[in-house]
Amino acid sequence: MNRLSTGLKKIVFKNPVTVASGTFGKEYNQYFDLNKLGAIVTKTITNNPKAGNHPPRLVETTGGLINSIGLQNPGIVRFCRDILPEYRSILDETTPLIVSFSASTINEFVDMIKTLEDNEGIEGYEVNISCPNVEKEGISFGVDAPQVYELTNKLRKAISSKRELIIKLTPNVTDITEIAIAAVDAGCDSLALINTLMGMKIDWCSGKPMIKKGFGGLSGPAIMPIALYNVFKVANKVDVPILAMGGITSYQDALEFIFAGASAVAVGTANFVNPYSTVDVITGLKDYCIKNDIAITKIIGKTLTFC
Amino acid sequence: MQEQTLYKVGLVDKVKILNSKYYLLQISMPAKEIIPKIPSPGQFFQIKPLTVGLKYPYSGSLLFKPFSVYDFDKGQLTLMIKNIGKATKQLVNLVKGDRIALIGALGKPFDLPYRKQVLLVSGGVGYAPLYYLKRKLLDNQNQVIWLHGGQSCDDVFDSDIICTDDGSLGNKGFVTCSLYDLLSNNCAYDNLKLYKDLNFESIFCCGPRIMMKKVFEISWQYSIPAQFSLEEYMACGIGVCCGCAVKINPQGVADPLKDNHYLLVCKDGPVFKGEEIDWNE
Ligand SMILES: Cc1cc2nc3c(=O)[nH]c(=O)nc-3n(C[C@H](O)[C@H](O)[C@H](O)COP(=O)(O)OP(=O)(O)OC[C@H]3O[C@@H](n4cnc5c(N)ncnc54)[C@H](O)[C@@H]3O)c2cc1C
Ligand SMILES: Cc1cc2nc3c(=O)[nH]c(=O)nc-3n(C[C@H](O)[C@H](O)[C@H](O)COP(=O)(O)O)c2cc1C
Ligand code: FES
Repeated sequence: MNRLSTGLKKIVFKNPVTVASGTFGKEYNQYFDLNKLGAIVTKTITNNPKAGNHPPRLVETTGGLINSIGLQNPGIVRFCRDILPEYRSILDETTPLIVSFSASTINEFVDMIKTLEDNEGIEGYEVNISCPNVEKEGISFGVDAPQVYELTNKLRKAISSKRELIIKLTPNVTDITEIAIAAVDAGCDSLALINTLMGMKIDWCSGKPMIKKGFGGLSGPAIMPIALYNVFKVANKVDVPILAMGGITSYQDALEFIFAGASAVAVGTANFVNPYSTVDVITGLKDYCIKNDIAITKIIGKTLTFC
Repeated sequence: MQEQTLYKVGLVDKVKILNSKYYLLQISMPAKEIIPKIPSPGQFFQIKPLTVGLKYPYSGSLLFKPFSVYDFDKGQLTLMIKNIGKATKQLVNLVKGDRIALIGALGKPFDLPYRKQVLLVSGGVGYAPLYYLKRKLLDNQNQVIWLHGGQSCDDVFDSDIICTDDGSLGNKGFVTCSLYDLLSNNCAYDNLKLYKDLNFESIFCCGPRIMMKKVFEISWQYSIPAQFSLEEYMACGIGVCCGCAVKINPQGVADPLKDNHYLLVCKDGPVFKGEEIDWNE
């Protein structure tokens, strides 16, 4: 019996551990077999290629990392032509591939999902909505419940396959449950949270921001308590599986998220802290389940029963 | 596919204090942690101390930090470290026997000529990659002249021509001024005259960005091909996160992709040809 087996609504994961979009790539396959992972989530792609933001794009903070990569990616055409086949040749049928994508208008999102529907070897879509909507004065899709409803609804209708539709939520909102409910009402299969928190760091000698753009997204252990609280809040309110992330570096961290209501977890920044983080988390979870003689799904959301 | 281990665990042999800012960190690799390939000059390691008693590198600063190979001999790796912040402070305070995680050697190395007259130009801790480079250039029977500059006498090390901004040692002024004087035969300083008949065919450079920009302009003016070792803040070190981008000069890159405005220092570099980089960024 596989005690670690879990899943989202339509995808089965052989273990609960995947990677956070943008922090992992096929490059890691030379160091360990990517099929050890529960699933793979790709770096976010956009319709047209994106050059990314001016450097410096990174800076470390206490327990965290601020990034302002600007979604540098080769665009959907080159993704489908070059990157997708590479993943297909690396991954076996036990390792689902989830494609993260983003756009600047609702129509563009829909066009992208149609293109992806025409390509084989994808088990799910993670929709990155932490990006500006150019038709709404650049306000991020992810902060506005009606927009999230409309976008999710249109994407739902555009999917004819059995693929999972995951909406990835941003924590930079007043009430994340309101956004989560909008996505669920509009028919998403599951939710991923959290994306990075806005943050900044200043060079105290010169007063200059350490990131060229001035600010960026904070990730890493520093944000874990916030991520955990968000997952807990959302799990209390909605009834879809949650893919949780934000600061996970150990199996104990992963357990906290699962207790809070996550069906699966993603490791992000910790890949840069210890490149074997994902594998270590999986091993730790396995030992935990054996020692306590349980299946991991038995503890999902258990914390909710204490409150 | 054969899996390699991602990081090796080395042991600190010695931390040699050069002066109040600069240190040499000597690391030896236990038998089962041998670095599979001898590093080439210009390559770097991502490193991180492992706190005693902890199996995995979670303490201190989060990220691995990049350092150029200063020397590599008989399996012993030496890094030159300038103490400027949290991670470097931790590194220079290590003691013999402390464990260190290393990923590498990473990146694209310098192209080495054979039997040429070449110039090395460095500033501050930019000295580090050129030390190992010089050794390999001499193996290739090149004649090597090294110009090194720094703010003050604490920032300069053994080289053919030393410059300090404050004049506390060697030629007073920027190293780029001495480079220009040397190439233009305007030998204000006697030590430059020694080399005035040489015909330099290649320049290798590492230092602060502003200095490298100036060296590029001079190399361009004198039509001497120049290679530069660049620095950018890194996270993964293996081309995954796109954090270490540098702006390219589209005219300088052979066959640039239309949308590809950046190269990655960790994967496409850290060594670049001067004309590949947009120095105005
Ligand atoms: C390819 C490469 C080779 C390098 N080789 C050497 C070397 O041989 N010897 C050496 O002493 N240093 C080298 N560096 C720089 C070194 O990695 C940084 O100095 C170090 O990471 C700083 O860490 P810190 O925590 O001590 O400083 P922090 O507290 O992080 O920063 C102190 C200051 O240094 C700047 N800084 C931090 N990281 C970098 C970086 N990666 N590149 C440029 N500036 C940075 C910050 O912006 C800040 O102003 C190299 C960098 C690269 C990219
Ligand atoms: C360098 C970097 C790049 C990222 N790129 C993306 C991205 O392309 N798309 C996305 O949805 N999230 C991106 N993220 C956010 C992560 O997927 C994740 O939501 C966040 O970092 C929190 O998890 P962590 O603390 O484990 O890193 C990125 C994060 C980092 C650090
Ligand atoms: S450091 Fe991640 S791509 Fe270069």
